[in-house]
Amino acid sequence: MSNPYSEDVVRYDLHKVWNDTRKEAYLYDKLADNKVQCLVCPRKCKIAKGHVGFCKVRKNIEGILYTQNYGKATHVTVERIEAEAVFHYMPGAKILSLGNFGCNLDCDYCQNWTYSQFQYTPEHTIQEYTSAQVIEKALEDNIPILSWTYNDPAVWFEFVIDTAKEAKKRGLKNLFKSAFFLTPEAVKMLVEVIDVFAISIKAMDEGYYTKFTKGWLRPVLDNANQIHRSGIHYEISNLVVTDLTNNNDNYDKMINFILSELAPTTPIHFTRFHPDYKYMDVKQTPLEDVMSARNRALDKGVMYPYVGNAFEAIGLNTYCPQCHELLIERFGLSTYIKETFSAESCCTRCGHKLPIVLS
Amino acid sequence: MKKLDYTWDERYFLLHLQINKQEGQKVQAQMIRQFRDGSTQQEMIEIKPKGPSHRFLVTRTHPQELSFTCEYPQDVELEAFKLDDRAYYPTESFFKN
Repeated sequence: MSNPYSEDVVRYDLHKVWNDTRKEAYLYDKLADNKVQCLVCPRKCKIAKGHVGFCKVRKNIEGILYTQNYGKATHVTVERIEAEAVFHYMPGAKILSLGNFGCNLDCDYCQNWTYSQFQYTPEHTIQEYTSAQVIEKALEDNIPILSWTYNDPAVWFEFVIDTAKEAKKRGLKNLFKSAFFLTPEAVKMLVEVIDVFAISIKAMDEGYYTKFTKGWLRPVLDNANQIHRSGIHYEISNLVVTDLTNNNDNYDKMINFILSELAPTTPIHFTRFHPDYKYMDVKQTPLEDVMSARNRALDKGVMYPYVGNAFEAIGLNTYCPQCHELLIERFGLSTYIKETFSAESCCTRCGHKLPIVLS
Repeated sequence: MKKLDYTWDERYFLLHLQINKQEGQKVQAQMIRQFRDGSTQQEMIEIKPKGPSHRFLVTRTHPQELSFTCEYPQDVELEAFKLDDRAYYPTESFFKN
């Protein structure tokens, strides 16, 4: 349910009292006067001694940058991969969703703001896990994929890298769902351990990024390109926000980016927004709007455009791009692979092979 | 056994359920989904002994599915959370028993 923001919201300000020196950050420079510069995201915060960066979970303690959130998490949750706007990788697979605290953006409509904006996070909601515990939980419950999600896992960088590396050795896959506001160095390290990227592009407009997310667009697009070139599975999502991005200009820019810089086979998910945080005065995005974006993408040559946050719509389904046969039917996050879709990812009617990883 | 009866509506098709239990306690819960034509579908949920709680997503499976019942042992607590977005991690439960 929506959590509206008000000036009276309680601030817990844990970042001011935490001084956790258990994990030194992987990507940072030491500067003069005991200052440090974080190199995980393009913001590249210069942080004075005793202070935190924009994300509030990376702190300069005596001239060393420490992550304050290593192993600290929201409750791990068993979900389905479709929850991450990923339809073409192990459809219907169970995932173990892991989120934590802080964010390197501050989107006005963030639905997870009570913990992505760390000043508002109460201590009792924070759980602690080791990498080994996370991996054991997934293995014990027969869950093949760890999903780094909810708040942006960019700010959980060290725990993601360490756990994903170990998880990979134990046969688990790793999914990274992110706004992808990262430095190329961070992306390079992630590429070594991540199997699936779910990349959220908020809009194709620099002004929009500055105003509504407090970040900027170019690095996000560059990173998406880098992942595309890496050959690792990825899917793009675009949150269609009422009165902000539910317009043809946004849809067309998004579609053109997919077609000109990525590939027509790249899945894109036009996802409905619901009112939250500081953006409460508009209604939930109508289904017709995301369907219009999906249909526009289809008309222009994107082969796998979808809608998100809908329960019943043809825009949730996967059709053969050649003969239009229904191959995968979805209701909300429930997935039904039809007999028309073979174990080799082919349409049984016309033989067309789809870029869908089944296992 | 205790139980949660939940009827789906137009707005929500996703919930998180969280079973709070003793460390070392193995728990079995049962999900019974009710469909428009009167049929039901049952699913056993086995929660391993490790850990003090287990949280999982429940999704409405089909437009014909109207409601579900989750039955669980007396000595554990169930919390239920509504999700209005698939990428949402809710912190306020609407049911706790």
